[in-house]
Amino acid sequence: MKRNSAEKIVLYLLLAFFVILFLFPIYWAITTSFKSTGQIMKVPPEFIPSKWVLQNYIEVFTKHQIGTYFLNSMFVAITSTACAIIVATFAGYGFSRFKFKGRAFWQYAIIVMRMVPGLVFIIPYYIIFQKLGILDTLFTLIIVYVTAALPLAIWLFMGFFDELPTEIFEAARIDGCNEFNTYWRIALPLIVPGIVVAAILVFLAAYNEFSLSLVLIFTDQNKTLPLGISGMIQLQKDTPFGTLAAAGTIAFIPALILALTTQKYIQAGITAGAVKG
Amino acid sequence: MKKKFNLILICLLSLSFVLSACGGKSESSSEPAEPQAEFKEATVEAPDVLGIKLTDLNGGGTLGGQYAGQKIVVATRTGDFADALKNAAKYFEEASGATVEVQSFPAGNDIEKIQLDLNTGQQFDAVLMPVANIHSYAEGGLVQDLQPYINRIASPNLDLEDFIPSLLKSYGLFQNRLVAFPYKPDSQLFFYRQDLFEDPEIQQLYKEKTGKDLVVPTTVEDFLSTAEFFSQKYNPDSPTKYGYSSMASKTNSRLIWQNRLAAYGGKDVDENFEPAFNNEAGLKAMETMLELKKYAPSEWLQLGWDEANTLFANGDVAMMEQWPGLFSTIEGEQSKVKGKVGFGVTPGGAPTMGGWAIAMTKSAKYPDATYKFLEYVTSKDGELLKIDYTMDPTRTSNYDQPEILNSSPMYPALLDSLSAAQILVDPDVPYVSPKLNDIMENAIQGVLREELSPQEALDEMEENFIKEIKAVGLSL
Repeated sequence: MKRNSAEKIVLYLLLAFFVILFLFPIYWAITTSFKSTGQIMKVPPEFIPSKWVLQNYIEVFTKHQIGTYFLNSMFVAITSTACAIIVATFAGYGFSRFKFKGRAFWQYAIIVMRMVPGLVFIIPYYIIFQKLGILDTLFTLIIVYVTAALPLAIWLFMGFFDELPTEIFEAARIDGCNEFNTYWRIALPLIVPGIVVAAILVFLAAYNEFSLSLVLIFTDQNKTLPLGISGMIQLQKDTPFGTLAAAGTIAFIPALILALTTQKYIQAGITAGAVKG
Repeated sequence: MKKKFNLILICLLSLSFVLSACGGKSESSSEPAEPQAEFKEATVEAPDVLGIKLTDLNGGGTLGGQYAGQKIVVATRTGDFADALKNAAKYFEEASGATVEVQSFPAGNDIEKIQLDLNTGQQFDAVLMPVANIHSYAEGGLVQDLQPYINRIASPNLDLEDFIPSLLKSYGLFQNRLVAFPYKPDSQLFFYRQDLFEDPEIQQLYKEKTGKDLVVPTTVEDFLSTAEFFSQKYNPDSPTKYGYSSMASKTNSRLIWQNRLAAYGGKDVDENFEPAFNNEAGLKAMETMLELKKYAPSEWLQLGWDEANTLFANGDVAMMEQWPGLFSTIEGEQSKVKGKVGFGVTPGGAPTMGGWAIAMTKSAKYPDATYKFLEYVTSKDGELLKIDYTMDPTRTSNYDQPEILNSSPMYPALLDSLSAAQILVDPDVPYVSPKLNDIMENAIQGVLREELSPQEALDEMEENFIKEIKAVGLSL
């Protein structure tokens, strides 16, 4: 009994330590976003702002068009996620359910694409999109993000579908379900936690991506958050910590909402597909 | 990760850039572009700048709305550069009828992005970039000679001789061709605690200790002795902790050496791209740098822009060499030295120059309209539209106006510094300027960390300079 209490105390102390370790930077960014320049540079620092100011938020919306960047990022990330999940679930289902000639080859061909460093594609992408006349559009970003996300997503879904007992598919067939209905009505609902996890991975990858958007986007009205926030830093000028913190806090909102709303699926999704029966 | 990305991108771009340059230079086109709209007299009005009425915002009467229907895309760095261009573009659009789109990219990635476009996509009609980059583009045939346009369609008020001569020479001219107009002048400045230098008690103390009068140092010898006097390490009575400071972190430290190199008669490279620093001047500049280290903060090698400026604004440092941007920190709400700082030319009298210039790309779709935009934003009145965006004037006539000269206590020193500056912060060697910067930084850091002797550092720098410059076929 005593041992259990001691273990619990150690456990809670460790948990508290890690919670502080992970949450303190977020807390610091949020509080910094509500401080004036003077408060930010104060030594010793103010852990709780003595005065809460909205100036940084006003500045990011009026001077830096953070609203446009945010909407662009959300549009690109949501569309990329939806497209990637639709295609990847079809592909994963196909690879998992059907045995066909060259199946292994195509599976590995897909994952090999994931192994090629993304930077190698930058200049070819640029030239191709330039020739097609679609540079500086959000559409180009969606294309490249979906392309980049598909290999991992397909392999994840292959694992999730492989986990489903074959008896379920046999029962569906006996009950007269065609292949699409089996996929749509039987298989997909059973891998929802996996879909959520894959969607989060794809969403965050698209939402945070910087290098490709830097090369493919030119105008302010098409910039995404990473590109827009990066442009707030100027050389030979004091770093605008307040506006950067405000922009970072705004950018953090979708991640926070995702974490809060999808929590129950995440653990199930992460472990699903890990062990093949 | 970002650094890695930049490195790989730079390698790929450098390769394509060198290859494109090997492909021969394209002829600049100065043919008029269609469509040309009808000329209509236009009066453009802008708010007064520092009480000065801007009277020439119609290109000396040469714009007249005749560029209607033409669109110019100008590329630059995000922030003040883009904001200044956008502000001027409003008035240019009104006067010329053309449309101007300013596209901007984050600092640290802008150079790669713009170079990529110049080599492949060719969307940009004009670029506003650091001088070394503009000259690289000129060597690669990616920007146009402006002289044919000046001959044909220049404003009667262009007055090239009005540009500060050192700026027009260093920024605009490349191999005797005018490839750009100076846009943002930049020079290392000498910031010193005027209140301390003018304090009779401190003057008395200095006299007792050194036998000399305390004056704002202009020579290296005086610089070192005042730096020693204001260092508590050597003078416990000093009102400041450190006599001298600057940015000595990697990517910035070469300036400490460069600020003295020209003062001793050296150069980074000569007109044939041969290294010209492995000599007595280079050695003395290195030794001065090591002397200054004695009076600098102990964390000097970690000081970047924010850290170095904060230390000075906190009143811990008596003298500092820095870019003009330090002024806004000095005047900031947290500064303890607001109104207590004087400005001068870096001791030795040959500060290092930075600076940005604006040029027309070889692929400009409407070259006439693009030229007129370049001319407009750098004209006598046009350049005053950028003052509010930390872009200081480049023309002597503007500094001659008391409203301008008195608008910033820094301007007289800036004008003197720009006139005296001789070396560009980024060596003016096409294609390899960033690599040469890295070579210098590595060597200077080696000396500051006492891993290399000054002579070893100079030898290493020279050897690597020659290797890099020869690799792109520039050295004789």
